[in-house]
Amino acid sequence: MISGALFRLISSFSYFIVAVSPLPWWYTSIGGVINVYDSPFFVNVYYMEQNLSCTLVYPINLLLISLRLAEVFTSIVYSFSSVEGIVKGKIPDTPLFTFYVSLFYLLDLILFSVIDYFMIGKLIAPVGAFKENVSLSRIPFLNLNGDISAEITNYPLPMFYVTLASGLFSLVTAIVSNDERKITRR
Amino acid sequence: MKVGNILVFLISALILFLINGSINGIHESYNQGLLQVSQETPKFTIVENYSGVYLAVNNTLAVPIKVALYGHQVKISPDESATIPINNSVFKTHEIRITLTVENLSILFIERV
Repeated sequence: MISGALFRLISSFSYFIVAVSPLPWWYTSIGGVINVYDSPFFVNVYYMEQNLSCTLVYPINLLLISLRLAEVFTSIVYSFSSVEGIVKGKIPDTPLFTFYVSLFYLLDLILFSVIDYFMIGKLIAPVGAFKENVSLSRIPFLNLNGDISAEITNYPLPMFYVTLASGLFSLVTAIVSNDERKITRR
Repeated sequence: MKVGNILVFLISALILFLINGSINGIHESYNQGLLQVSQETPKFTIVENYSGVYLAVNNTLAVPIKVALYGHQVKISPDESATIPINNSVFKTHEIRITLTVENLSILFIERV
């Protein structure tokens, strides 16, 4: 019981740390010309040396900042309920946001590979540095003629690994909590 | 918990939206971004004079660029411009193929003439 309560407390606290941390999770560079540092709570886009996060991509960032505030609020509520759970012996719910969101990033890579396969006709590992050749006429909505060839660099940053670890820990905590509930019902 | 989460999200979004000057303010930020992008994009113009037709390229970027046009390649330093002669045969095909290389990115433009 104590271990479950401790798990829930650590899980809620790590969720809070992930939500308040301003560090980006992922880095993507298109030929060194467009550099993107992103997380589900903020997107930093650099076009050459111009930072576009407060101008061109601000409408997206406005929603992401709101999401961060909502998640910080939820993580505080979860932290209080896990402390309350220790004091009163209750089994509160476990936050799984960090697990789902890190899973989403990994699914995103698979989606990128699938789109890439249909556009270029070959499968590329979407992590690390790789060369990409895209015929613009294959992208119908751009209405452009020509080709783009770029060296793409795409990799997770340390904060992503922190989130993934927090997410996996939350999943373990959710399983432990479910087992505890079953035992308590008996 | 979910209702509280959604409520905080909606209230924060509304407050940020109003702080940033609602639709007009956000639209202005977006337009400023478009201007930043256009300022950082090299400009191409076709110049015609008594000695022939040229492609004038102005490098507005902070890094050197390479422009290639039918075998002619020119390296242009930041804030400098260059002209590349356009062969008359180009006008028979009605298209100009310009390859722009910036750092590790190269773009092939096909301009209709």
